[in-house]
Amino acid sequence: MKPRIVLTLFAVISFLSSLLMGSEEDRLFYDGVRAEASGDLDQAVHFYLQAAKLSHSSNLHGNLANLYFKKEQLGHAILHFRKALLLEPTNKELSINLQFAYEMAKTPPLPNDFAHSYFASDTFSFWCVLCAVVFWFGFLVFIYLFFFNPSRAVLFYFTIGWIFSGGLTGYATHFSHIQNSELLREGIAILPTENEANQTKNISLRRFAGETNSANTTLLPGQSLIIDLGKEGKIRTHESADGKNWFLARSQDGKKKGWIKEDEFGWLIDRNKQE
Amino acid sequence: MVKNGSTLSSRSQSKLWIILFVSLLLPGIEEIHGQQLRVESSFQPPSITIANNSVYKIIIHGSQENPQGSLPQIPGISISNSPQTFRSASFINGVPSVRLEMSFQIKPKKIGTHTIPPWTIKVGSTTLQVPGSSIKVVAANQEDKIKQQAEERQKEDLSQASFIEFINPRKFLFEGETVSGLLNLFIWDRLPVSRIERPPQKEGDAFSLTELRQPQEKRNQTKYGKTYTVFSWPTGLTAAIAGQQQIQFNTSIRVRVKSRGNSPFTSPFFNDPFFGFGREESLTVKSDLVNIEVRELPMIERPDSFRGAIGKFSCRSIPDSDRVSLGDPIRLVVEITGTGNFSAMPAPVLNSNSNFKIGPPAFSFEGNEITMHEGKQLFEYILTPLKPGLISIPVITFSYFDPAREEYFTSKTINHPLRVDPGETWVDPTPVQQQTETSDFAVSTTDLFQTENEPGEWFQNVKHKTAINSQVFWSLQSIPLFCAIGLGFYGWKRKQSGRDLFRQRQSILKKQMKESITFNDASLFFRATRERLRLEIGTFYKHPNPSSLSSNELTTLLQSSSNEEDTISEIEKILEISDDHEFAGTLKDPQSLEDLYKHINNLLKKIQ
Repeated sequence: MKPRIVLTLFAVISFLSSLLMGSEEDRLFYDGVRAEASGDLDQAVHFYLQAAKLSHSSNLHGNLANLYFKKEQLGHAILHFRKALLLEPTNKELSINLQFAYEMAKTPPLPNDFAHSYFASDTFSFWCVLCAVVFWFGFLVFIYLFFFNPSRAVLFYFTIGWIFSGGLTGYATHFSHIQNSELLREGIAILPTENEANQTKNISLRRFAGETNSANTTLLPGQSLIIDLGKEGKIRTHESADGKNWFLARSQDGKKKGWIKEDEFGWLIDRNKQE
Repeated sequence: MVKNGSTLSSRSQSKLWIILFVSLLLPGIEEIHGQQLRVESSFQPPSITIANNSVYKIIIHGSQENPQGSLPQIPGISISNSPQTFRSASFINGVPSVRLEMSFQIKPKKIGTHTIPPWTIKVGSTTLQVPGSSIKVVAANQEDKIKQQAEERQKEDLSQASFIEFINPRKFLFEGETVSGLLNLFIWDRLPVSRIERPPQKEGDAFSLTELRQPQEKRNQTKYGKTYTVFSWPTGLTAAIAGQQQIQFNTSIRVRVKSRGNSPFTSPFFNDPFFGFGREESLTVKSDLVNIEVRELPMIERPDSFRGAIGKFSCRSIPDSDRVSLGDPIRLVVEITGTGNFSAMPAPVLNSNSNFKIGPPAFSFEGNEITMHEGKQLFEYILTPLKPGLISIPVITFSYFDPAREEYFTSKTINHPLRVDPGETWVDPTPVQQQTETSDFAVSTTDLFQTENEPGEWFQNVKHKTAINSQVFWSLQSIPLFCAIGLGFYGWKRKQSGRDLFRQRQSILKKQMKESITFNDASLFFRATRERLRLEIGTFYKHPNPSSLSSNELTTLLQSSSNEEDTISEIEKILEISDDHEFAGTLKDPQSLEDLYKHINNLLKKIQ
């Protein structure tokens, strides 16, 4: 009887304390807000990054982006605005801030054409569901017509329509799947923290994975890049002699390609959480 | 005018009057030819008390011309510079004589005998020596003392008739500190003052005073047992020089006094100044000498940003915009509110930097402009941003010394972010309508780059799970899958059951036909034949109810398809035989029935 009471009390106290104190990421977030209010931007960034290691929220990444913007680290600002928008795509304020950050960084914004807007990565789930609905609905109707409707003509025309609509939704699903898989490999070019204040410096995409190699081309801070896949469908990476990881990347439009160091870009979606 | 004591004949007297008349008519005749020039000097009276005055008189005989010369100054007496002159002409023993008298007022300064030594004057072209003369000054007697006390009493009465009172709220001031004081001019109601000539003025350079404007008037104020009218000037007094300082105020008032000259009317009524018959004189009114200690500001813990503000203040800055285009200036107003030395307060330092070009500020003051001691001082800076981006308006540090707590305090303005757009150089102002339409879509810039104070909803990953990674999605697929399987199975079963029935009935009918051949039962044979044709043709053409088909309908079905004419006519013929047999009872031999059975089987295989 006695151990039961102790365990119950312990559980109740733990529950109440968790309610009162909040989670660790909450605590870190509020620490960040306080540090920012007191003007200590570096400390605020530190707290927010600590919170981002535990969990993510659009407000957290939005605040981080704002701080980086104030610190004139535009690459980091764009990276975190993008993260915030992934979590809350309908947030108009974040979109406008992102546009302004692109403008300030003199970086071309994300393409907003028909294909990239209607088949964007965040529409993948929609297309998946629609594709499934079209397939199953058509299949059920087809079975009905096949077994229960004597008119073969109706069956024929319906089948043509079904295949056509299924093809369209299937294509949309496939295209958005490509966008989605690219998003998982997307990074934002950033300058290492100590250099980012220097607006004139660009990020090099090198011919080979090595510090001393000449640059094939350069990217502006905040510019998107896609990490290439190897033959096995895995990300193309190389570990140099100094222990640094290099990735083969290309720009969003595919015109620029080269090797980039791991600290010269930020993953839009953390790699460890992808796996 | 005539000083002739001798007796003259009437003729001589008439001659004398003529000469005198001529001498008066001809003022140019200032020197009588033949009379010798000589000078006399004397004090009248030659002995006085220190409380009285005397006259130093010089008499020039033989000329009425103004002399030239300089009167020597004697330490023990003061001699007035404006003598009274008196010219006279006379006949002495029949000889005409002229002279000039000059009288100088003498006021003794100390007791003793004071001598004016011989000195020279020039009359025309002749130089004459004025003989020396002495005056004896003795101590004041009892009469003088009584007179002096009466004068002092009169003076005191006069000082209480009108005086200035300065009310200083603090015993000591700090150098540069401004306090709000009050100057009261008391005027005794019985004093016939016609006007105040000027506001009070300070004496002494250790303080500066704000401008005195229109005074406030209070009547029937009692002091020293007298009733006064008090005129009050609020003023701001700023200490300028450290040390033990003195300050005094004075002003002039216009007072009516009795006329000196005798009135043509002997009645005192006409000499009463209250009724406007007197004359006006200016009277100087002074305050007491006020001693004020002025302390130096402490050097310990004096902030670098301290620029001389003394008092109690709060500071804030207000930009007129938080978003501008590059090159467009913004107005930054620094507002300092409180009490203190606003009149001596310099503008806070705000220098140009890499982000802004900053011009000198414009000053304005809102509050008590008379004393400049309490209110709001505004410094308006024009800032021109030099680079695009989100930049901060410089924080302004304002330090002041609080004289009440005798400490320095520093106040800082808050950090204002400013968004500087890089590019648009010109906006067409004409399409106002369009601007108003698009303004609905504009997002308030104050919301941009704002910190969220709540974390919002937490997610384990930046990217939400896609549908294909969701178990729910795949689980839901099983629903239409099972539906499809079920539906298909049902349809198949249904289809299968229909075919079996057909075969079953077909085999029954075939069996009946064979049995009728065996038993040579033609009626049964043709009945079964007709049923079989209905079943097979109707089923072949997917008729919903084949057993209801008539012979004509069967023929029509066969004709609707691409069957051969022979086949159709053969089937038609069999149907006709079947009908005839059933209704007419025609007999057939078993051999022919068996042949017919085989023929029917062949015909049914030909149906398309």
